[in-house]
Amino acid sequence: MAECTELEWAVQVLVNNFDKYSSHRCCCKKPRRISKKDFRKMLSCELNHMLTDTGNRRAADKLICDLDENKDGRISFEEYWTLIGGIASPIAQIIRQQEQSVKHTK
Amino acid sequence: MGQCNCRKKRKDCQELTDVERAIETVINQFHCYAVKGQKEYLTPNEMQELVTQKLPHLGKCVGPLDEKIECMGDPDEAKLEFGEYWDMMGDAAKGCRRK
Repeated sequence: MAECTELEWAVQVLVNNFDKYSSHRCCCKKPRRISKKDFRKMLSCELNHMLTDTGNRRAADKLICDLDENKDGRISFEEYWTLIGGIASPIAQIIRQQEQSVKHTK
Repeated sequence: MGQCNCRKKRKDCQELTDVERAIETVINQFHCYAVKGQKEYLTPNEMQELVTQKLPHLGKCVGPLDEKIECMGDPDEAKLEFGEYWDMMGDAAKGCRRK
């Protein structure tokens, strides 16, 4: 991809990250998925700093628990994306609040 | 517009992994474009601007953008949450994988 933007780079990184931890099980015609075990490993290796932030680790645990209700036990790309979104969204709020409080103190 | 001035990095940036920096980038872009009215939301117009300017290659993957934007309601008034923006990025990501 020629001259991709920062945002495109970011999307690509998240896609590559899924591919790094996911695998085909038995049959390579099936889409790649991440096992729950590997997903936890991914969270602790790749999102270690973000998840130490206030309450984020709890949020992540809750997300994984919710996922447990899903019978297939493995995480598809769509589920992965939703999970990362669930982690990103509270962080987005925190960053926004920080920016606002900076403005107020100025 | 489009020039991003909120790209300031958090101080612990060097320690962040690529994945974390990527997530932060996605978040920052949202905040860069969410300038009108309530800043927790993008308007459909802002969303369109963001996708056109920041996803020049992947933008095609999100499907017919105009149609999607139209479904989002009043272009200057409707409020799109971070989650909707994230879903849009998800469409771009899926396009990225198909390549």
